[in-house]
Amino acid sequence: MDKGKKKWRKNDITVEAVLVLIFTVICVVTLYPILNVLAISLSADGYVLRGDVTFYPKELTLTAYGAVMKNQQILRSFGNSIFIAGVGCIVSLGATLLAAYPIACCRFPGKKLYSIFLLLPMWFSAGTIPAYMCINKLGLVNSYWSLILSVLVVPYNVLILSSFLRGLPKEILESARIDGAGEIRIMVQIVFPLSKASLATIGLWVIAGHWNDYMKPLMYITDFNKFTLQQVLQDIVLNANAVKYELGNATTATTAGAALADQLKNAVLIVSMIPMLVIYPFIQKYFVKGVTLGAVKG
Amino acid sequence: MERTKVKRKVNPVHGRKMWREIWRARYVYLLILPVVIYMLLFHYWPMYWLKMSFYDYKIFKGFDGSEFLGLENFRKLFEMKDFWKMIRNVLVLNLYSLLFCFPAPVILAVMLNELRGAKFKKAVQTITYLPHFISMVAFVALITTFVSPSTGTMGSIMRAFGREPIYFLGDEKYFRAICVISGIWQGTGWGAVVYLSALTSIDSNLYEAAMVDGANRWQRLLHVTLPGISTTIIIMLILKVGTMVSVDFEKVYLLQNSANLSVSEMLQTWIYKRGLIKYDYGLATAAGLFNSIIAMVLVTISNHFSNKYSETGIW
Repeated sequence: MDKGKKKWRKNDITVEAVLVLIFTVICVVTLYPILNVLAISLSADGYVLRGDVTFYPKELTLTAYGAVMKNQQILRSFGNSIFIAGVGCIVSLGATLLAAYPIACCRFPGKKLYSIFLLLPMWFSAGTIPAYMCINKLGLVNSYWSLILSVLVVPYNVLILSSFLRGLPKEILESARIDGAGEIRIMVQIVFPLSKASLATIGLWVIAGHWNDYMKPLMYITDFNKFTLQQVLQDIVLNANAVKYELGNATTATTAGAALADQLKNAVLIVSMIPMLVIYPFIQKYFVKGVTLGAVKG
Repeated sequence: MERTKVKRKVNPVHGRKMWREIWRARYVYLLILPVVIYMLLFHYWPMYWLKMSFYDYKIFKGFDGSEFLGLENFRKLFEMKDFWKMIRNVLVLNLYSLLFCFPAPVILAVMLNELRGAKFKKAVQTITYLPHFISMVAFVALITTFVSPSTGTMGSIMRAFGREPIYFLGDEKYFRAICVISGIWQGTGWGAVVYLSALTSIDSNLYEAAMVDGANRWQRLLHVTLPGISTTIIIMLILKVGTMVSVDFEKVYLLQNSANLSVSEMLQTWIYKRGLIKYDYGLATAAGLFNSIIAMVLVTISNHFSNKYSETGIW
């Protein structure tokens, strides 16, 4: 399929030109809302109020970002989200490996039952209210462990990882067993190093899931001081709840105040998106792998 | 071969032999024990709490102190006019997204496949994937900024055409359109991934044969490319139909306001508000149970068809 082989007929050049034009439009449309928000966050009051800002900032100013960076609540929620994503990723990877390894590499009576047991919740879930009740009874409301533990073992990830582990050379495991290594030791010292690439992929899914999650924090984290970044973002940008966050004179009814609020909102929005936007070009191939694996079936 | 042999040896297990197998695997059981405990606690214990749907459950009284209602909650639910409206809202929204959001990735993937400049193709892919990585809160914030009548782009466009800007989010007429259009914006690039990977598995000999037969580009597209991904399209369609009763809670919840509630109230958002804001646990759990059962039935049916069609079901 490489283009060197193909001859460019006149017709093909026209088609290519039309396609390039269409895709350029698609890309502009895709990027516009984000560029627009970025431009507003960097612009001066007057232009924002008149709705004049489109692709690029007018009268570049960093005031809004200064206010965001100085804001304790926003910074704290940023830290909270990093903590949840980081700890959640590590713990989840350990648990997923622990769940997938016996399915893929061990023989034991009741294996089939164990797989069904793991996958059944994918098919029938009790719903949000019973899940909340359990978190409540476990005393995890307003603890980050509620967010981390409720997605500790995701059946789909177990499927993906165990299908990978099944592909590992059996001889290595067998010879280790003959040498007298216990299952835990085999898992930690042999299987873990061999499956680093798959674990990295799953780890990135977990991180992205935690970072972008809003529904679980909405239900489980009600203490304002423990809000995650997405909750703070929702509060500031969608509820326009600036008082709670002491964001400058954003709440005064004057026009200047309203404009400041607009730039501030968009600055918070950009700050929340930056981590994902910076790393996604590098991690997208891992996500693609997940989609295609799922389609081919693990 | 080897596997079946082993199985036959183990299968007629009688008493002692079975126990020996279990004893031999004792460390494996030790290994799965924490996972089993976790699953019981976080995924199976909630199923016990479905019991709340038969009670007027009060959290401080427990099951003993709460009044047992039998099927009263379900009767109340089915007699509620809003309940059927919510079901309708879910179905209509999903139907629209099936009509408009579903074909978009297919078209994008086929067009990308026709593109010859490899670098440009890569760049287009990277850019169109981007919205998938944005959180739902940020995504809804982008929508509100974009359609804002005073400072947003939609407002500016309408003013440029001499029209009075409309507050789109405050009007129930536009809710579904906003959901669907923004859904296309967010999901199309990423949705194309599956089809792109299906396209790469089409045998290139087929294209060459078609060329020898004198097929032009359009004919090759119609007779080689599309049939090549038709299985994938049908499976994705079946899977999509299997999730017809579920909506993206975060998106709907965040786009919802009192003005568009008549079309934006869905079962999922109602359950959350009824249960965790109004503390009507019994009724909310009943609604959740109803929803889970319908979802389970649909997924089972769709999985059955997907298996029948190509052996690529989830199980």
